[in-house]
Amino acid sequence: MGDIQQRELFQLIADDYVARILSATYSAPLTIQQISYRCEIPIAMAYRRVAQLEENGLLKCAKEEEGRRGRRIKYFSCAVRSVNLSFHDGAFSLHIDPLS
Amino acid sequence: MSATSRGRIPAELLSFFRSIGGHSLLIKGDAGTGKTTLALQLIEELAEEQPDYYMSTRVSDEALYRQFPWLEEKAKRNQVLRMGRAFLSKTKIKLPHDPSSDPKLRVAKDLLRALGTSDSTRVVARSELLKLEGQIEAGDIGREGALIKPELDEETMILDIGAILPELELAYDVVEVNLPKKTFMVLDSIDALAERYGFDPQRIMSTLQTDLVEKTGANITYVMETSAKNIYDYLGDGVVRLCNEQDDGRRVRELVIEKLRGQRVDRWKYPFTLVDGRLRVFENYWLKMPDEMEKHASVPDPSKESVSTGNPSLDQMLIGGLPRGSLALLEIGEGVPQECVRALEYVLIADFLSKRRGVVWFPLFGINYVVLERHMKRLAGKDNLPFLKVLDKDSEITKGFDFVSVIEGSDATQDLRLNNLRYLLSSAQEPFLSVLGFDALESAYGPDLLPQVNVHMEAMKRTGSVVLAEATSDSASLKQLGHRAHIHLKLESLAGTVMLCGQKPHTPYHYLDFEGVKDKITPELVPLV
Repeated sequence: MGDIQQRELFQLIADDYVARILSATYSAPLTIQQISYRCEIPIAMAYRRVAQLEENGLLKCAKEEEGRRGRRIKYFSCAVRSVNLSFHDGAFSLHIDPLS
Repeated sequence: MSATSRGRIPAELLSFFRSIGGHSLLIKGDAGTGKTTLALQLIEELAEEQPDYYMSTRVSDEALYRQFPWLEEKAKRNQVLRMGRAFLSKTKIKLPHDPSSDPKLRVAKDLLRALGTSDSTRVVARSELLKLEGQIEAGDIGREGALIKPELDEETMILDIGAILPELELAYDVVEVNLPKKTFMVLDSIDALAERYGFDPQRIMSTLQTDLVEKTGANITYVMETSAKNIYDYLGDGVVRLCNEQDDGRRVRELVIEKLRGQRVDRWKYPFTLVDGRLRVFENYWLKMPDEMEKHASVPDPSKESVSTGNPSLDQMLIGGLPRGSLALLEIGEGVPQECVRALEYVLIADFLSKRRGVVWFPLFGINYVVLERHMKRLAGKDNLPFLKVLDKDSEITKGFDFVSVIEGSDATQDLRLNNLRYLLSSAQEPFLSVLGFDALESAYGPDLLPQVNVHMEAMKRTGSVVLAEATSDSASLKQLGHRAHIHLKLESLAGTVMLCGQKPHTPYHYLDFEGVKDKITPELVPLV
């Protein structure tokens, strides 16, 4: 994992919104609207965070449906079993255990 | 609801929304300045011409529902519309060709009409909305902010899946179903909605301005929770600011029309009140004395210790009229028309005369005695006119007018001696009233007048009579009179609107409403609260 990608991950993991999203989507897939509602996150930020999490492999699209006016509605679920941040011998490291 | 109890909003705003094409207005102001009240009164005024849509981010507000009883029903209707829209989009119901054939579907037809269905031939441009939603889906816009409290319960929200900006999408649907009629929409508040969505209000305003205002001709009013000038002022076609200041401990509310694009604005600043929960602007009413006066209806004295001013509204403001044996001061500020002063004088004098009480008057402003005689005969009755004595130095001018008494004009102590006045008013009852225009007295007797007049004032007070001293801001006696007076009233011009306030007792500003009263000279006093 490159430095930039690692820094981005550290920032994501430390983000309050992200913590809520991962917890909310762990047991069942949710749409972004549902994520916004349950996690009390403004809708625009919910979209942004979900895009970042998906890009970094922490969320995955579990299914899709067709919605109003032909819009594709995606359901997202948490893609990790655990995330461990440790400090050892002067360096931080992040270990992500993905869900199979 | 009467015209008065509905409140009053500037005619310029209504003309603005009635003119051709769509218009957007930003109503700005700090908390409690009346923004929502103004927006809702606009809906009421335009209700018969323009179907409305009120989008609120507030929690239910019982006080607002009491003032605007129709609002609660509309809020429920909007909620039903939203739930119905979400439900129908999920179940994909299609109506049969003739919905009236099945009674159960007639209700559904109305709902579908309200939601914009395939049977509608008129559509609203949605290009900017789709662009905005696309940017949200791509994660390109959004600002870091606090957590939000969801508006709907989860069951309703689940039904609404697929709507990124459900409130705005419903607004578009409502505008569409109302076509070709122009919809009047209120977003209250644009700040709260933008915070809920997580991006700048500017994005919402520019989206709606293009799709709904410019391309579809809808009218939109945004309520904004700040009074400061900002970039949003440039996005709307009009900006109105509601201000709440204080002046010597009195509330001063002003409605300022910053701009109304394409609309002539003759008056851009209005004092206003929120009395009884309704916004009412105060017009610049130029009082014209009626040619024919109505007979003054005598007003009972509020108590044994006081006398009426002739105006029940003013008696109430003074908490019981004018105390017997007192000095009352009426201070007249700059820009106050003489007619306003004359109206207050007429009513007070007419009330005394109608009770057969004596009145001595040294007018502040010059009087036409022919007109005065005609007016007083109508107001107080011909038989009571002998109880009035107007004091004048000029014996030539006063010839033929029995109610005018000529005075020497060199020594006010002699001219205003109470025994002399009692002789002039021998057939009148006490308590007497003397109305003394101090600027005119100073012109006649010199600026060092007060010690001379003081003898008269003290004698009047000792006998339980009433002195009304009138002084403009130029009077040399004003300050001393202010200290000595038991009652001190002030007439002021606020942005061209004449207001009356009490210094002693200290009261809010009151607007003199001459327009709504039958006789046109006894104003109703409307408090500025």
